[in-house]
Amino acid sequence: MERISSPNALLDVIKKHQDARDPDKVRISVCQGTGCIASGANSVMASFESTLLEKNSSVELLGTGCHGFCERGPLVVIQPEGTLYQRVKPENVNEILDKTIGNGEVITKLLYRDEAKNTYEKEQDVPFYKHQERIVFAMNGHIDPSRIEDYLAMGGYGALAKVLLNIEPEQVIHMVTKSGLRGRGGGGFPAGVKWKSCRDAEGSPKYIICNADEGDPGAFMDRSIMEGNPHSVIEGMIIGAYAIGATKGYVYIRNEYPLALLRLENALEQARELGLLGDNILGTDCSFDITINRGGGAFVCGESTALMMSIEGKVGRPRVKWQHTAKKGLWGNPTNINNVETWANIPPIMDRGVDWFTSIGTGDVSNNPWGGSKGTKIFSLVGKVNNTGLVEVPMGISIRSIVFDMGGGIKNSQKGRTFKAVQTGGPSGGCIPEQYLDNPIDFDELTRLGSMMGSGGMIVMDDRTCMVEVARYFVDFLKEESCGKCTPCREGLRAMSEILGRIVKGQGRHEDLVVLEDLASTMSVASFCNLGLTAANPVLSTLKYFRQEYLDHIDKGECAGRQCQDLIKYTISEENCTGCTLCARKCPTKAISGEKKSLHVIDQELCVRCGVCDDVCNFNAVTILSGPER
Amino acid sequence: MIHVRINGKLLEAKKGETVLQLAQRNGYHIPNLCYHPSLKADGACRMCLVEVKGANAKPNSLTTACTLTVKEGMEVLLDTPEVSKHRNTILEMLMALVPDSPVLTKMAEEYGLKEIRLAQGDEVCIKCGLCVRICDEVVGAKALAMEGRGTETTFNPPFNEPPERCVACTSCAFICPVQCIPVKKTNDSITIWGREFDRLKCTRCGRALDLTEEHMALMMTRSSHLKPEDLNVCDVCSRKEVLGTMKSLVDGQITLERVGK
Repeated sequence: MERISSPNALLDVIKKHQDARDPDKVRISVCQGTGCIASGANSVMASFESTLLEKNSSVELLGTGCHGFCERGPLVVIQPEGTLYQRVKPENVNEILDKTIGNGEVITKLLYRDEAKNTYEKEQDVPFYKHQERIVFAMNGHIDPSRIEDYLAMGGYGALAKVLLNIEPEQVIHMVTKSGLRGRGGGGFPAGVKWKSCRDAEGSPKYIICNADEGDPGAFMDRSIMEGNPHSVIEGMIIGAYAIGATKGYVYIRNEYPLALLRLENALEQARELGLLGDNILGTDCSFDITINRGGGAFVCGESTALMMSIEGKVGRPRVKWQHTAKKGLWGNPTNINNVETWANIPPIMDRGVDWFTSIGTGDVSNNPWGGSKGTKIFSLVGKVNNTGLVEVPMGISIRSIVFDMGGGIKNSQKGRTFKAVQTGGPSGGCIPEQYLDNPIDFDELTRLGSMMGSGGMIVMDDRTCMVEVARYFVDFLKEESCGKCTPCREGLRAMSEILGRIVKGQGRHEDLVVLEDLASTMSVASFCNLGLTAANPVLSTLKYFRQEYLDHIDKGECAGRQCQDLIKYTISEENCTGCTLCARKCPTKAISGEKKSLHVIDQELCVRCGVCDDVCNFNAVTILSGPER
Repeated sequence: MIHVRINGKLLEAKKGETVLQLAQRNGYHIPNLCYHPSLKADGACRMCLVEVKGANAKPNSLTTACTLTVKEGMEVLLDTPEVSKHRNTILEMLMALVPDSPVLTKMAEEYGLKEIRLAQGDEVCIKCGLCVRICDEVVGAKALAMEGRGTETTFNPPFNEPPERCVACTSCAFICPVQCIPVKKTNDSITIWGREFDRLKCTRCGRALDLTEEHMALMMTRSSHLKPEDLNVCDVCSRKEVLGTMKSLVDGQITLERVGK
């Protein structure tokens, strides 16, 4: 494509691509996100390609970014009807082409079926999608992320043209402030306020950074944005650079995201070719380019000052914030740093306006950008829930709606599993129990409940989850990932890890809880950076809401979640066992013996408490004992 | 002048100085383990916690005095119950890490920390990082580095091998607050970080100097007006020389111009 000479010419190019896109054309979109690729989307795609070639068909095949419904991948959507096929295998391809494309027939066995056995034909009717409000993810699933033409055809870069033509930099910042957009990386700091102080700061050149060092276990929304719609991030950054007066941008992306890296590099190349990046963007005075910086996988490098140290080539440790990053950031120059999702929110805000954006979400931000949480947030819904994946929801929605409407409820509820808690905000977040399921979630409400928004991880836990073990897991994660600079974070986590490690083994003492609380309170006020300041949250929130579980471990050696291996014992109930031999065949240590059609018995000496017998038993005959009954 | 109150007393602070510097200048003692006036503040040990009020500080805000720059109207409290509670927990953490340090034990006595409730380790280093920072910022040898992350953090020569860039100035051992860097000195050699260096001898009297060939070379690259003869004479001989010069001056044997040369 040719270099575009002016914002007006860009509008013409967008128009041309929009006109060329026929919304009624038959399109097969195959999800090419990391989740679907992991479940075999590449071979489905290849099979479509070769079969279409064989049949000499003119049907358009589109490899798109992540659709979000990773649990059911590989996903295939047939447009314009929006028929969603899930868990598609290469051998289904011929049938899809013959029946659905050829005859307009829907293949029922490939449709999504919920726990109540209802099937859904169209993507937009599936409960997982139905309750979502997709702004950042609006184009995922409709465009090929490797083609800038697709982004343009959806109106992409229109916001940039509009900004360069009609909106002064100060006005852009004013709009971002008024929109109430708060940092999606977890801090929740109003983006416009940050932009303004960076614009007002003295020093040149100014830098902007996109924090793509997504490190929370179970969070993958930033990856999916970059994989599925890299141009939205780039467009947001160009608008930000124009508003702030920055000439150089960095994307700090973790090296463990090879596909996101590839798509981003490709997108940057295309944007440069069109004159959207580089000197004199679209013939204006604005010059800006973006460099990719790959991170080595240290969790702490998601912290803004550690991230900048890493870009500068130094050890990724947080540094003293003598002055705000906006004034003295990268190489001592004014710097603005925002997360991937925040940047991706900028083009829609510029395009559709402040009033539209503030109509979504909670609170009132008209006079105070801290007054509420506006727009949407993408959560990665994982854990003991039927539909795992990424959901983009308006701020203020309840956890119940996310877990039960979109998530389809708790996994194995037919086996009696029930909801216990949801962990939000990544490892430094907290666990929220059932009584708060209906609270509206936004930045401030989650903090009030003792957790946090974080980057939007949401791990659902059922009654077979031990909350002490959850705390131990996250504390150990943070212990590994603490940079080691300050005493409270480094030594506090070490001590907590030792104590929790004893409690889950049944060797806890009552004094331990006092010590845990003392450590947590000091870590929460005396640590150097936010990693340490929030590192005690998993312990604090589980102690607050699930203290009885700690006490049961200590007093009775009982694990309510039946998870702590040292405190449980698997047995087979005489009443329910039918002698089907399934458990005996699946047991990895051959600890189960018994004749066909007679009661099976577990040899406790050989049992490694892996739980396979319970998972496979169809008659609910395996019981897990803990505490005195053990 | 900036006006800051410490424990209620109004003090005049210099622009840009930290609360720790202001406090020390006025005779207040704030415990610390990772601060040294010749180095940039790092805020790592967190022992110098103080409570801040006014000057836009959040209510009941605790922060480290070494990294807190003075601001007009700031009020700092050094020994509130909150400060002492958290400081003692931090000290407890450090004493669990390094159980047998006399420096920490003395601090514990001073601040009334009676019991270590945490599992005890067997380390000697409190991971304050002063050794690496002085080697980098003051000496300029950059012979030491931080290695690892979190609880695995260590401060050592790279790859834990005898450090190539070390000059045996022993600043690291001198600055270490818990004295955990061993130095072995004989009349002929200095051994540190597993590497043995020859000691230079005074060119006048032959007495062993606290100086190595490597250290002298480094100092000369860092300061162009230094000459070997400025460094390789022992204190006694230099003093003798100065005294001799002064005597000649008094006696009128030489003039001030000649001394300049």
